[in-house]
Amino acid sequence: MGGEHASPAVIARSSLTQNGTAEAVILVGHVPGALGAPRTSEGRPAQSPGEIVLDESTGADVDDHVTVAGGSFTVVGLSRDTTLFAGIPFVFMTLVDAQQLVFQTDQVVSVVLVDGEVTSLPTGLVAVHSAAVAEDALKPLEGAVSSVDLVRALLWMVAAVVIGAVVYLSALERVRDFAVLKAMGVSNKNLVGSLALQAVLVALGAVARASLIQLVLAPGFPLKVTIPDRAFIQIPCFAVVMALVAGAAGMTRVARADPALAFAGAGG
Amino acid sequence: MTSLRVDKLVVEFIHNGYAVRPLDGLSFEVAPGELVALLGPSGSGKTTLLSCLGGILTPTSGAIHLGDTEVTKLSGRALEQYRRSQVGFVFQAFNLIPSLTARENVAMPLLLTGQSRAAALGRADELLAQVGLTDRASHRPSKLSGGQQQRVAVARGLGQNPQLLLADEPTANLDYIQVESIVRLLRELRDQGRMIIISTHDPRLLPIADRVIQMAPDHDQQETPTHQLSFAAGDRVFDQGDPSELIYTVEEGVVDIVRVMADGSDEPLNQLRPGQYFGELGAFLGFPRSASARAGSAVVLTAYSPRVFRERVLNNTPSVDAIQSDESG
Repeated sequence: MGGEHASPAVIARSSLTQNGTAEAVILVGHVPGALGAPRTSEGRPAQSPGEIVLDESTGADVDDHVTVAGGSFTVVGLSRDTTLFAGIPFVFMTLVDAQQLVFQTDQVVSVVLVDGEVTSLPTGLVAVHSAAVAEDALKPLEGAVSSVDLVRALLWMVAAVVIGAVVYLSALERVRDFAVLKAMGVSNKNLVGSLALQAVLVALGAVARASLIQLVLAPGFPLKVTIPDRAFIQIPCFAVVMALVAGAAGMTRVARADPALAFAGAGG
Repeated sequence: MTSLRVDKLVVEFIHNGYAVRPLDGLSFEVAPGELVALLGPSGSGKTTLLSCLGGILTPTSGAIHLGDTEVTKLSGRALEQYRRSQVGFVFQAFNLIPSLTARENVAMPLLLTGQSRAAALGRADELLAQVGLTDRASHRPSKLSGGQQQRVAVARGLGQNPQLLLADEPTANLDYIQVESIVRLLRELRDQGRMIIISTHDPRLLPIADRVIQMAPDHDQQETPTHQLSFAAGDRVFDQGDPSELIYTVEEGVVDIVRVMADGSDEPLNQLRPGQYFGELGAFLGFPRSASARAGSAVVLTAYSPRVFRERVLNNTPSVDAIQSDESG
Protein backbone atom coordinates (compact mmCIF):
# COMPACT_ATOMS: atom_id res chain seq x y z
CA MET A 1 0.00 0.00 0.00
CA GLY A 2 2.92 2.33 0.67
CA GLY A 3 3.08 5.45 2.84
CA GLU A 4 5.12 6.11 5.95
CA HIS A 5 2.16 5.60 8.26
CA ALA A 6 -1.20 3.97 7.72
CA SER A 7 -3.98 3.59 10.22
CA PRO A 8 -7.55 2.32 10.00
CA ALA A 9 -10.42 4.56 11.01
CA VAL A 10 -14.17 4.70 11.15
CA ILE A 11 -16.06 7.77 9.97
CA ALA A 12 -19.82 7.94 10.18
CA ARG A 13 -22.70 10.27 10.92
CA SER A 14 -24.15 9.83 14.35
CA SER A 15 -25.93 11.68 17.11
CA LEU A 16 -24.72 13.18 20.38
CA THR A 17 -27.00 13.56 23.37
CA GLN A 18 -26.08 15.72 26.29
CA ASN A 19 -28.34 17.27 28.89
CA GLY A 20 -31.29 15.67 27.14
CA THR A 21 -30.60 17.38 23.85
CA ALA A 22 -29.54 15.49 20.74
CA GLU A 23 -27.56 16.88 17.85
CA ALA A 24 -26.01 15.48 14.71
CA VAL A 25 -22.29 14.79 14.82
CA ILE A 26 -19.59 13.25 12.66
CA LEU A 27 -18.11 10.34 14.51
CA VAL A 28 -14.44 9.50 14.02
CA GLY A 29 -12.93 6.33 15.42
CA HIS A 30 -9.14 6.20 15.46
CA VAL A 31 -6.36 4.10 16.81
CA PRO A 32 -5.09 5.90 19.93
CA GLY A 33 -2.03 7.97 19.08
CA ALA A 34 -2.29 7.18 15.37
CA LEU A 35 -3.59 9.02 12.32
CA GLY A 36 -7.07 10.41 12.88
CA ALA A 37 -6.50 11.37 16.52
CA PRO A 38 -7.38 15.02 17.07
CA ARG A 39 -5.25 17.87 18.34
CA THR A 40 -6.97 18.89 21.53
CA SER A 41 -7.37 22.42 22.74
CA GLU A 42 -8.15 21.13 26.19
CA GLY A 43 -7.66 17.72 27.83
CA ARG A 44 -6.27 14.81 25.83
CA PRO A 45 -7.27 12.47 22.96
CA ALA A 46 -9.30 9.35 23.68
CA GLN A 47 -7.05 6.44 24.55
CA SER A 48 -9.35 3.91 26.18
CA PRO A 49 -12.86 2.66 25.52
CA GLY A 50 -15.52 4.94 26.94
CA GLU A 51 -13.48 8.08 26.34
CA ILE A 52 -14.41 10.74 23.85
CA VAL A 53 -13.18 14.11 22.52
CA LEU A 54 -15.80 16.63 21.39
CA ASP A 55 -15.58 19.78 19.32
CA GLU A 56 -15.80 22.91 21.44
CA SER A 57 -18.98 23.95 19.62
CA THR A 58 -20.90 21.20 21.41
CA GLY A 59 -20.57 23.21 24.60
CA ALA A 60 -19.36 20.22 26.57
CA ASP A 61 -16.59 20.34 29.16
CA VAL A 62 -13.94 17.82 30.08
CA ASP A 63 -15.30 15.15 32.47
CA ASP A 64 -18.86 15.61 31.21
CA HIS A 65 -20.80 12.45 30.42
CA VAL A 66 -22.46 12.25 27.04
CA THR A 67 -24.24 9.66 24.90
CA VAL A 68 -23.28 8.90 21.32
CA ALA A 69 -25.46 6.50 19.34
CA GLY A 70 -26.68 5.00 22.59
CA GLY A 71 -23.22 4.51 24.07
CA SER A 72 -22.07 6.40 27.17
CA PHE A 73 -18.79 8.27 27.10
CA THR A 74 -16.73 10.49 29.31
CA VAL A 75 -15.36 13.65 27.75
CA VAL A 76 -11.58 13.62 28.11
CA GLY A 77 -10.72 16.42 25.70
CA LEU A 78 -12.01 19.19 23.46
CA SER A 79 -10.97 20.03 19.92
CA ARG A 80 -11.27 23.34 18.12
CA ASP A 81 -12.48 24.13 14.57
CA THR A 82 -13.35 20.51 13.91
CA THR A 83 -16.73 20.76 12.22
CA LEU A 84 -18.12 19.71 8.85
CA PHE A 85 -20.93 21.04 6.65
CA ALA A 86 -20.83 24.47 8.24
CA GLY A 87 -21.17 23.49 11.84
CA ILE A 88 -21.74 19.76 12.42
CA PRO A 89 -19.17 18.92 15.12
CA PHE A 90 -16.75 16.00 15.06
CA VAL A 91 -16.52 13.62 17.99
CA PHE A 92 -13.44 11.45 18.35
CA MET A 93 -13.31 8.07 20.12
CA THR A 94 -11.20 4.95 19.95
CA LEU A 95 -11.49 2.79 16.88
CA VAL A 96 -12.87 -0.09 18.89
CA ASP A 97 -15.72 1.95 20.35
CA ALA A 98 -16.56 3.39 16.93
CA GLN A 99 -16.59 -0.05 15.29
CA GLN A 100 -18.97 -1.36 17.96
CA LEU A 101 -21.28 1.63 17.67
CA VAL A 102 -21.38 1.73 13.89
CA PHE A 103 -20.75 -1.83 12.72
CA GLN A 104 -21.22 -3.95 15.87
CA THR A 105 -18.00 -5.78 14.92
CA ASP A 106 -14.29 -5.12 15.09
CA GLN A 107 -13.72 -6.50 11.57
CA VAL A 108 -14.81 -3.46 9.59
CA VAL A 109 -13.35 0.01 9.10
CA SER A 110 -14.45 2.89 6.87
CA VAL A 111 -11.09 4.12 5.70
CA VAL A 112 -7.41 3.62 6.03
CA LEU A 113 -5.64 6.90 6.66
CA VAL A 114 -2.26 7.11 4.98
CA ASP A 115 0.47 9.65 5.60
CA GLY A 116 2.62 9.71 2.46
CA GLU A 117 2.43 8.45 -1.09
CA VAL A 118 0.11 5.53 -1.87
CA THR A 119 2.02 3.22 -4.19
CA SER A 120 -0.33 0.26 -4.39
CA LEU A 121 -3.88 -0.52 -3.31
CA PRO A 122 -5.70 -3.70 -2.37
CA THR A 123 -8.47 -4.63 -4.77
CA GLY A 124 -11.65 -2.63 -4.22
CA LEU A 125 -10.01 0.33 -2.47
CA VAL A 126 -9.59 3.82 -3.93
CA ALA A 127 -6.98 6.40 -2.87
CA VAL A 128 -8.31 9.88 -2.30
CA HIS A 129 -5.99 12.81 -1.61
CA SER A 130 -6.74 15.00 1.37
CA ALA A 131 -7.31 17.99 -0.93
CA ALA A 132 -9.95 16.02 -2.80
CA VAL A 133 -11.53 15.02 0.49
CA ALA A 134 -11.66 18.66 1.56
CA GLU A 135 -13.21 19.65 -1.76
CA ASP A 136 -15.71 16.84 -1.54
CA ALA A 137 -16.65 17.89 1.97
CA LEU A 138 -17.46 21.40 0.74
CA LYS A 139 -19.72 20.24 -2.09
CA PRO A 140 -22.90 20.24 0.01
CA LEU A 141 -22.13 23.86 0.85
CA GLU A 142 -21.78 25.07 -2.72
CA GLY A 143 -25.24 26.60 -2.72
CA ALA A 144 -24.66 28.34 0.58
CA VAL A 145 -21.25 29.60 -0.54
CA SER A 146 -22.78 30.93 -3.77
CA SER A 147 -25.46 32.67 -1.77
CA VAL A 148 -22.86 34.30 0.45
CA ASP A 149 -20.92 35.39 -2.64
CA LEU A 150 -24.09 36.84 -4.12
CA VAL A 151 -24.90 38.73 -0.92
CA ARG A 152 -21.34 39.99 -0.85
CA ALA A 153 -21.64 41.24 -4.43
CA LEU A 154 -24.94 42.91 -3.60
CA LEU A 155 -23.40 44.61 -0.57
CA TRP A 156 -20.57 45.92 -2.72
CA MET A 157 -23.16 47.26 -5.15
CA VAL A 158 -25.05 48.92 -2.33
CA ALA A 159 -21.80 50.44 -1.12
CA ALA A 160 -21.07 51.68 -4.64
CA VAL A 161 -24.53 53.21 -4.94
CA VAL A 162 -24.19 54.90 -1.55
CA ILE A 163 -20.76 56.30 -2.33
CA GLY A 164 -21.86 57.32 -5.82
CA ALA A 165 -24.92 59.07 -4.40
CA VAL A 166 -22.88 60.82 -1.71
CA VAL A 167 -20.35 62.07 -4.24
CA TYR A 168 -22.97 63.07 -6.81
CA LEU A 169 -25.15 64.90 -4.30
CA SER A 170 -22.06 66.51 -2.86
CA ALA A 171 -21.17 67.74 -6.35
CA LEU A 172 -24.72 68.76 -7.15
CA GLU A 173 -25.28 70.85 -4.06
CA ARG A 174 -21.93 72.58 -4.50
CA VAL A 175 -22.07 73.29 -8.21
CA ARG A 176 -21.92 77.00 -7.57
CA ASP A 177 -18.95 76.58 -5.22
CA PHE A 178 -17.15 74.66 -7.91
CA ALA A 179 -18.13 77.29 -10.48
CA VAL A 180 -16.72 80.02 -8.24
CA LEU A 181 -13.47 78.14 -7.79
CA LYS A 182 -13.26 77.54 -11.53
CA ALA A 183 -13.87 81.22 -12.18
CA MET A 184 -10.91 81.90 -9.91
CA GLY A 185 -8.69 79.74 -12.04
CA VAL A 186 -8.74 76.49 -10.10
CA SER A 187 -8.27 73.76 -12.68
CA ASN A 188 -10.70 70.97 -13.43
CA LYS A 189 -7.96 68.54 -12.52
CA ASN A 190 -7.72 69.89 -8.99
CA LEU A 191 -11.48 70.08 -8.47
CA VAL A 192 -12.18 66.63 -9.84
CA GLY A 193 -9.20 65.32 -7.91
CA SER A 194 -10.57 66.74 -4.67
CA LEU A 195 -13.91 65.06 -5.28
CA ALA A 196 -12.19 61.78 -6.13
CA LEU A 197 -10.22 62.08 -2.91
CA GLN A 198 -13.49 62.57 -1.04
CA ALA A 199 -14.91 59.40 -2.60
CA VAL A 200 -11.80 57.41 -1.76
CA LEU A 201 -11.75 58.69 1.82
CA VAL A 202 -15.42 57.78 2.27
CA ALA A 203 -14.71 54.27 1.00
CA LEU A 204 -11.56 53.79 3.06
CA GLY A 205 -13.30 55.19 6.12
CA ALA A 206 -16.02 52.61 5.64
CA VAL A 207 -13.42 49.86 5.31
CA ALA A 208 -11.70 51.01 8.49
CA ARG A 209 -14.97 51.07 10.38
CA ALA A 210 -15.90 47.63 9.02
CA SER A 211 -12.52 46.28 10.13
CA LEU A 212 -13.26 47.39 13.67
CA ILE A 213 -16.90 46.35 13.69
CA GLN A 214 -16.04 42.80 12.56
CA LEU A 215 -13.98 42.39 15.71
CA VAL A 216 -17.17 42.82 17.69
CA LEU A 217 -19.59 41.00 15.39
CA ALA A 218 -17.55 37.97 14.30
CA PRO A 219 -17.52 36.17 17.66
CA GLY A 220 -21.30 36.42 17.83
CA PHE A 221 -21.87 34.50 14.60
CA PRO A 222 -23.14 30.92 14.95
CA LEU A 223 -20.43 29.80 12.53
CA LYS A 224 -16.78 30.54 12.79
CA VAL A 225 -15.95 33.68 10.82
CA THR A 226 -12.42 33.86 9.51
CA ILE A 227 -11.14 36.98 7.78
CA PRO A 228 -7.90 36.21 5.96
CA ASP A 229 -5.07 38.71 6.22
CA ARG A 230 -5.13 39.31 2.49
CA ALA A 231 -8.65 40.71 2.87
CA PHE A 232 -7.21 43.73 4.66
CA ILE A 233 -5.23 44.52 1.51
CA GLN A 234 -7.73 43.41 -1.11
CA ILE A 235 -10.81 45.10 0.31
CA PRO A 236 -9.29 48.62 0.60
CA CYS A 237 -7.86 48.30 -2.92
CA PHE A 238 -11.20 47.19 -4.30
CA ALA A 239 -12.96 49.90 -2.30
CA VAL A 240 -10.74 52.58 -3.84
CA VAL A 241 -11.47 51.34 -7.36
CA MET A 242 -15.18 51.04 -6.58
CA ALA A 243 -15.27 54.56 -5.09
CA LEU A 244 -13.65 56.08 -8.16
CA VAL A 245 -16.04 54.27 -10.49
CA ALA A 246 -19.07 55.09 -8.33
CA GLY A 247 -18.02 58.73 -8.04
CA ALA A 248 -17.49 59.16 -11.76
CA ALA A 249 -20.91 60.73 -12.32
CA GLY A 250 -20.29 63.34 -9.63
CA MET A 251 -16.84 64.06 -10.96
CA THR A 252 -18.21 64.48 -14.47
CA ARG A 253 -20.77 66.92 -13.09
CA VAL A 254 -18.01 68.98 -11.54
CA ALA A 255 -15.89 68.86 -14.67
CA ARG A 256 -18.81 70.27 -16.63
CA ALA A 257 -19.70 73.01 -14.15
CA ASP A 258 -19.78 76.34 -15.99
CA PRO A 259 -17.74 79.01 -14.20
CA ALA A 260 -20.28 81.56 -15.42
CA LEU A 261 -22.62 80.06 -12.80
CA ALA A 262 -20.61 82.06 -10.30
CA PHE A 263 -22.49 85.09 -11.57
CA ALA A 264 -25.88 83.37 -11.28
CA GLY A 265 -28.33 85.61 -9.53
CA ALA A 266 -26.84 88.74 -10.99
CA GLY A 267 -29.00 90.68 -13.26
CA GLY A 268 -26.88 92.25 -15.86
CA MET B 1 1.95 99.91 -16.16
CA THR B 2 -0.62 97.33 -17.28
CA SER B 3 -3.83 98.65 -18.75
CA LEU B 4 -6.98 97.03 -20.03
CA ARG B 5 -8.18 97.54 -23.58
CA VAL B 6 -11.49 96.29 -24.94
CA ASP B 7 -11.86 96.50 -28.69
CA LYS B 8 -15.11 96.09 -30.66
CA LEU B 9 -16.39 93.38 -28.34
CA VAL B 10 -19.40 91.45 -29.59
CA VAL B 11 -21.22 88.72 -27.69
CA GLU B 12 -24.10 86.99 -29.39
CA PHE B 13 -26.25 84.26 -27.88
CA ILE B 14 -28.75 82.06 -29.63
CA HIS B 15 -31.89 81.93 -27.51
CA ASN B 16 -35.06 80.10 -28.57
CA GLY B 17 -33.80 80.17 -32.12
CA TYR B 18 -33.13 83.90 -32.39
CA ALA B 19 -29.92 85.79 -31.78
CA VAL B 20 -29.43 88.18 -28.86
CA ARG B 21 -26.48 90.56 -28.68
CA PRO B 22 -25.95 91.83 -25.15
CA LEU B 23 -22.67 93.38 -26.32
CA ASP B 24 -22.40 94.82 -29.78
CA GLY B 25 -19.11 96.43 -30.71
CA LEU B 26 -18.17 97.72 -27.24
CA SER B 27 -14.76 99.42 -26.96
CA PHE B 28 -13.08 101.14 -24.02
CA GLU B 29 -9.81 101.35 -22.10
CA VAL B 30 -9.03 101.28 -18.41
CA ALA B 31 -5.84 102.73 -16.98
CA PRO B 32 -4.04 101.39 -13.87
CA GLY B 33 -5.56 102.81 -10.70
CA GLU B 34 -8.86 103.54 -12.41
CA LEU B 35 -12.24 102.53 -11.06
CA VAL B 36 -14.79 102.08 -13.82
CA ALA B 37 -18.49 101.59 -13.27
CA LEU B 38 -20.64 99.71 -15.75
CA LEU B 39 -24.09 101.20 -15.44
CA GLY B 40 -27.17 99.71 -16.93
CA PRO B 41 -30.39 97.85 -16.24
CA SER B 42 -30.74 94.11 -16.04
CA GLY B 43 -30.05 92.53 -19.40
CA SER B 44 -27.83 95.32 -20.61
CA GLY B 45 -24.74 93.11 -20.74
CA LYS B 46 -22.87 94.15 -17.58
CA THR B 47 -22.36 90.63 -16.29
CA THR B 48 -21.65 89.39 -19.79
CA LEU B 49 -18.89 91.98 -20.10
CA LEU B 50 -17.43 91.04 -16.71
CA SER B 51 -17.48 87.38 -17.75
CA CYS B 52 -15.54 88.24 -20.90
CA LEU B 53 -13.05 90.38 -19.02
CA GLY B 54 -12.56 87.59 -16.49
CA GLY B 55 -11.93 84.95 -19.13
CA ILE B 56 -15.07 83.04 -18.23
CA LEU B 57 -16.91 83.75 -21.46
CA THR B 58 -15.42 83.80 -24.94
CA PRO B 59 -16.84 86.69 -26.96
CA THR B 60 -18.23 86.19 -30.45
CA SER B 61 -15.74 88.70 -31.83
CA GLY B 62 -13.53 91.55 -30.70
CA ALA B 63 -10.49 91.57 -28.47
CA ILE B 64 -9.57 92.12 -24.83
CA HIS B 65 -5.99 92.99 -23.91
CA LEU B 66 -4.72 93.12 -20.37
CA GLY B 67 -1.24 94.52 -20.72
CA ASP B 68 0.51 92.34 -23.26
CA THR B 69 -1.93 89.48 -22.82
CA GLU B 70 -4.68 89.09 -25.40
CA VAL B 71 -7.25 87.49 -23.18
CA THR B 72 -9.54 86.56 -26.05
CA LYS B 73 -6.80 84.40 -27.55
CA LEU B 74 -6.24 82.37 -24.38
CA SER B 75 -7.64 78.92 -23.81
CA GLY B 76 -7.21 75.91 -21.54
CA ARG B 77 -4.48 76.19 -18.96
CA ALA B 78 -3.41 79.64 -20.13
CA LEU B 79 -6.91 80.90 -19.45
CA GLU B 80 -6.95 79.24 -16.04
CA GLN B 81 -3.62 80.85 -15.29
CA TYR B 82 -5.01 84.23 -16.38
CA ARG B 83 -8.04 83.88 -14.13
CA ARG B 84 -5.85 82.65 -11.31
CA SER B 85 -3.16 85.29 -11.35
CA GLN B 86 -4.39 88.40 -13.13
CA VAL B 87 -8.06 88.74 -12.26
CA GLY B 88 -9.94 88.86 -9.00
CA PHE B 89 -13.69 88.32 -8.79
CA VAL B 90 -16.25 89.68 -6.37
CA PHE B 91 -19.73 88.29 -6.87
CA GLN B 92 -23.07 89.84 -6.09
CA ALA B 93 -24.17 86.83 -4.04
CA PHE B 94 -20.79 86.69 -2.20
CA ASN B 95 -20.54 82.98 -3.07
CA LEU B 96 -18.68 82.04 0.06
CA ILE B 97 -18.59 78.37 1.02
CA PRO B 98 -20.92 78.13 4.02
CA SER B 99 -19.11 75.32 5.81
CA LEU B 100 -15.77 77.14 5.83
CA THR B 101 -14.63 80.00 8.03
CA ALA B 102 -13.78 83.39 6.56
CA ARG B 103 -10.11 82.50 6.75
CA GLU B 104 -10.62 79.16 5.03
CA ASN B 105 -12.78 80.74 2.34
CA VAL B 106 -10.00 83.14 1.47
CA ALA B 107 -7.38 80.39 1.60
CA MET B 108 -9.34 77.78 -0.38
CA PRO B 109 -8.54 78.98 -3.94
CA LEU B 110 -4.89 79.33 -2.94
CA LEU B 111 -4.79 75.81 -1.56
CA LEU B 112 -6.41 74.41 -4.68
CA THR B 113 -3.90 76.16 -6.88
CA GLY B 114 -0.99 74.46 -5.21
CA GLN B 115 0.02 76.67 -2.31
CA SER B 116 0.91 74.97 0.94
CA ARG B 117 -1.64 75.11 3.73
CA ALA B 118 0.58 77.32 5.85
CA ALA B 119 1.25 79.75 3.00
CA ALA B 120 -2.42 79.90 1.99
CA LEU B 121 -3.63 80.52 5.53
CA GLY B 122 -0.89 83.09 6.08
CA ARG B 123 -1.95 84.95 2.95
CA ALA B 124 -5.59 84.72 4.05
CA ASP B 125 -4.67 86.35 7.35
CA GLU B 126 -2.94 89.19 5.49
CA LEU B 127 -5.91 89.77 3.23
CA LEU B 128 -8.46 89.64 6.03
CA ALA B 129 -6.37 92.22 7.86
CA GLN B 130 -6.41 94.35 4.72
CA VAL B 131 -10.21 94.30 4.60
CA GLY B 132 -10.48 94.82 8.35
CA LEU B 133 -11.80 91.42 9.31
CA THR B 134 -9.00 89.92 11.37
CA ASP B 135 -11.28 89.53 14.35
CA ARG B 136 -13.89 87.67 12.24
CA ALA B 137 -11.46 85.27 10.58
CA SER B 138 -12.74 82.21 12.39
CA HIS B 139 -16.42 82.92 11.75
CA ARG B 140 -18.47 81.12 9.16
CA PRO B 141 -20.42 83.17 6.59
CA SER B 142 -23.69 82.63 8.45
CA LYS B 143 -22.20 84.50 11.40
CA LEU B 144 -21.10 87.47 9.30
CA SER B 145 -23.15 90.44 8.10
CA GLY B 146 -23.69 90.96 4.38
CA GLY B 147 -21.02 93.65 4.31
CA GLN B 148 -18.56 91.44 6.14
CA GLN B 149 -19.27 88.58 3.77
CA GLN B 150 -18.64 90.83 0.81
CA ARG B 151 -15.37 91.99 2.35
CA VAL B 152 -14.36 88.35 2.76
CA ALA B 153 -15.26 87.88 -0.91
CA VAL B 154 -13.09 90.86 -1.82
CA ALA B 155 -10.23 89.40 0.23
CA ARG B 156 -10.67 86.10 -1.60
CA GLY B 157 -10.60 87.92 -4.94
CA LEU B 158 -7.29 89.53 -3.99
CA GLY B 159 -5.61 86.21 -3.17
CA GLN B 160 -3.12 86.30 -6.02
CA ASN B 161 -2.74 90.09 -5.92
CA PRO B 162 -4.47 90.57 -9.31
CA GLN B 163 -4.10 93.68 -11.43
CA LEU B 164 -7.76 93.64 -12.35
CA LEU B 165 -10.63 93.31 -9.90
CA LEU B 166 -14.09 92.63 -11.31
CA ALA B 167 -17.00 93.23 -8.99
CA ASP B 168 -20.50 92.25 -10.05
CA GLU B 169 -23.11 94.37 -8.24
CA PRO B 170 -20.92 94.35 -5.12
CA THR B 171 -23.37 96.41 -3.09
CA ALA B 172 -26.64 94.93 -4.33
CA ASN B 173 -27.45 92.95 -1.22
CA LEU B 174 -26.18 95.44 1.34
CA ASP B 175 -27.70 98.18 3.44
CA TYR B 176 -26.27 101.69 3.17
CA ILE B 177 -23.92 101.31 6.13
CA GLN B 178 -22.46 98.14 4.65
CA VAL B 179 -22.30 99.82 1.24
CA GLU B 180 -20.07 102.51 2.71
CA SER B 181 -17.56 99.97 3.97
CA ILE B 182 -17.40 98.25 0.60
CA VAL B 183 -17.08 101.54 -1.29
CA ARG B 184 -14.29 102.62 1.03
CA LEU B 185 -12.51 99.31 0.47
CA LEU B 186 -12.84 99.52 -3.31
CA ARG B 187 -11.41 103.04 -3.29
CA GLU B 188 -8.46 101.89 -1.19
CA LEU B 189 -7.80 99.08 -3.63
CA ARG B 190 -8.06 101.50 -6.54
CA ASP B 191 -5.56 103.81 -4.82
CA GLN B 192 -3.11 100.90 -4.65
CA GLY B 193 -3.00 100.97 -8.45
CA ARG B 194 -5.43 98.24 -9.31
CA MET B 195 -7.93 98.47 -12.13
CA ILE B 196 -11.37 97.93 -10.71
CA ILE B 197 -14.47 97.42 -12.79
CA ILE B 198 -17.80 97.24 -11.03
CA SER B 199 -21.18 96.57 -12.55
CA THR B 200 -24.12 98.29 -10.98
CA HIS B 201 -27.59 99.54 -11.67
CA ASP B 202 -27.39 101.81 -8.65
CA PRO B 203 -26.53 105.38 -9.77
CA ARG B 204 -25.59 106.28 -6.18
CA LEU B 205 -22.32 104.45 -6.71
CA LEU B 206 -21.33 106.57 -9.67
CA PRO B 207 -19.56 109.37 -7.74
CA ILE B 208 -16.84 106.97 -6.61
CA ALA B 209 -16.11 105.88 -10.17
CA ASP B 210 -13.41 107.53 -12.22
CA ARG B 211 -15.43 106.71 -15.29
CA VAL B 212 -18.89 105.40 -16.06
CA ILE B 213 -19.68 103.21 -19.03
CA GLN B 214 -23.36 103.30 -19.92
CA MET B 215 -24.39 99.82 -20.98
CA ALA B 216 -27.75 101.06 -22.29
CA PRO B 217 -28.60 104.34 -24.07
CA ASP B 218 -29.50 107.22 -21.81
CA HIS B 219 -32.85 108.22 -23.25
CA ASP B 220 -33.39 111.12 -20.93
CA GLN B 221 -30.72 113.01 -22.81
CA GLN B 222 -32.25 112.33 -26.21
CA GLU B 223 -35.29 114.15 -27.46
CA THR B 224 -35.84 113.59 -31.14
CA PRO B 225 -38.58 115.86 -32.49
CA THR B 226 -41.74 114.23 -33.73
CA HIS B 227 -41.55 113.68 -37.46
CA GLN B 228 -43.06 111.66 -40.28
CA LEU B 229 -41.29 108.95 -42.27
CA SER B 230 -42.15 107.18 -45.49
CA PHE B 231 -41.01 103.72 -46.51
CA ALA B 232 -41.45 101.75 -49.71
CA ALA B 233 -42.77 98.19 -49.56
CA GLY B 234 -40.08 95.88 -48.21
CA ASP B 235 -38.00 98.62 -46.55
CA ARG B 236 -36.86 97.99 -42.95
CA VAL B 237 -38.07 100.53 -40.39
CA PHE B 238 -35.64 99.12 -37.81
CA ASP B 239 -33.77 95.88 -37.25
CA GLN B 240 -33.84 93.51 -34.33
CA GLY B 241 -31.07 94.46 -31.91
CA ASP B 242 -31.04 98.15 -32.94
CA PRO B 243 -31.11 100.70 -30.12
CA SER B 244 -34.69 101.59 -29.22
CA GLU B 245 -35.12 105.36 -29.51
CA LEU B 246 -38.44 106.12 -31.16
CA ILE B 247 -42.00 104.90 -31.09
CA TYR B 248 -43.99 104.76 -34.31
CA THR B 249 -47.65 105.09 -35.19
CA VAL B 250 -48.88 103.81 -38.52
CA GLU B 251 -50.56 106.56 -40.57
CA GLU B 252 -50.85 104.75 -43.91
CA GLY B 253 -50.06 101.28 -45.19
CA VAL B 254 -49.12 98.06 -43.40
CA VAL B 255 -46.09 97.28 -41.20
CA ASP B 256 -44.92 93.70 -40.62
CA ILE B 257 -43.27 92.87 -37.31
CA VAL B 258 -40.92 89.87 -37.64
CA ARG B 259 -38.42 88.16 -35.42
CA VAL B 260 -35.14 87.33 -37.14
CA MET B 261 -34.03 83.84 -36.23
CA ALA B 262 -30.45 82.70 -35.82
CA ASP B 263 -30.53 80.96 -39.19
CA GLY B 264 -31.51 84.22 -40.91
CA SER B 265 -35.16 83.31 -41.44
CA ASP B 266 -38.01 85.59 -40.36
CA GLU B 267 -40.77 84.57 -37.96
CA PRO B 268 -43.88 86.78 -38.48
CA LEU B 269 -45.18 88.20 -35.20
CA ASN B 270 -47.79 90.77 -36.19
CA GLN B 271 -49.11 93.05 -38.93
CA LEU B 272 -50.00 96.61 -37.99
CA ARG B 273 -52.40 98.93 -39.76
CA PRO B 274 -53.20 102.65 -39.55
CA GLY B 275 -53.98 103.84 -36.02
CA GLN B 276 -51.77 101.23 -34.34
CA TYR B 277 -48.33 101.82 -32.86
CA PHE B 278 -45.18 99.78 -32.29
CA GLY B 279 -41.72 99.97 -30.74
CA GLU B 280 -42.88 101.46 -27.43
CA LEU B 281 -41.63 98.86 -24.92
CA GLY B 282 -38.02 98.89 -26.06
CA ALA B 283 -38.02 102.69 -26.13
CA PHE B 284 -39.60 102.99 -22.67
CA LEU B 285 -37.40 100.35 -21.04
CA GLY B 286 -34.15 101.06 -22.86
CA PHE B 287 -33.90 97.57 -24.37
CA PRO B 288 -32.68 96.99 -27.90
CA ARG B 289 -35.34 96.18 -30.47
CA SER B 290 -36.60 92.65 -29.87
CA ALA B 291 -37.94 92.32 -33.44
CA SER B 292 -37.60 93.91 -36.86
CA ALA B 293 -40.22 96.20 -38.41
CA ARG B 294 -40.62 96.07 -42.17
CA ALA B 295 -42.92 98.02 -44.50
CA GLY B 296 -45.47 95.56 -45.85
CA SER B 297 -46.57 98.15 -48.38
CA ALA B 298 -45.81 101.78 -48.96
CA VAL B 299 -46.21 103.22 -45.45
CA VAL B 300 -46.23 106.55 -43.70
CA LEU B 301 -45.26 106.55 -40.01
CA THR B 302 -45.09 109.20 -37.33
CA ALA B 303 -42.06 108.86 -35.04
CA TYR B 304 -42.22 110.06 -31.42
CA SER B 305 -39.77 110.25 -28.58
CA PRO B 306 -40.97 108.19 -25.58
CA ARG B 307 -41.82 111.33 -23.59
CA VAL B 308 -43.86 112.89 -26.37
CA PHE B 309 -45.50 109.58 -27.19
CA ARG B 310 -46.56 109.18 -23.58
CA GLU B 311 -47.94 112.71 -23.44
CA ARG B 312 -49.60 113.01 -26.79
CA VAL B 313 -50.49 109.56 -27.96
CA LEU B 314 -50.72 106.97 -25.25
CA ASN B 315 -53.63 108.59 -23.47
CA ASN B 316 -55.52 109.40 -26.69
CA THR B 317 -54.91 106.46 -28.95
CA PRO B 318 -57.72 103.94 -29.40
CA SER B 319 -57.18 100.63 -27.66
CA VAL B 320 -54.29 98.62 -28.95
CA ASP B 321 -54.06 94.89 -28.70
CA ALA B 322 -51.84 94.21 -25.71
CA ILE B 323 -50.25 91.24 -27.35
CA GLN B 324 -49.58 93.24 -30.44
CA SER B 325 -47.85 96.03 -28.55
CA ASP B 326 -45.85 93.54 -26.51
CA GLU B 327 -44.62 91.72 -29.58
CA SER B 328 -43.66 94.91 -31.29
CA GLY B 329 -41.66 96.31 -28.39
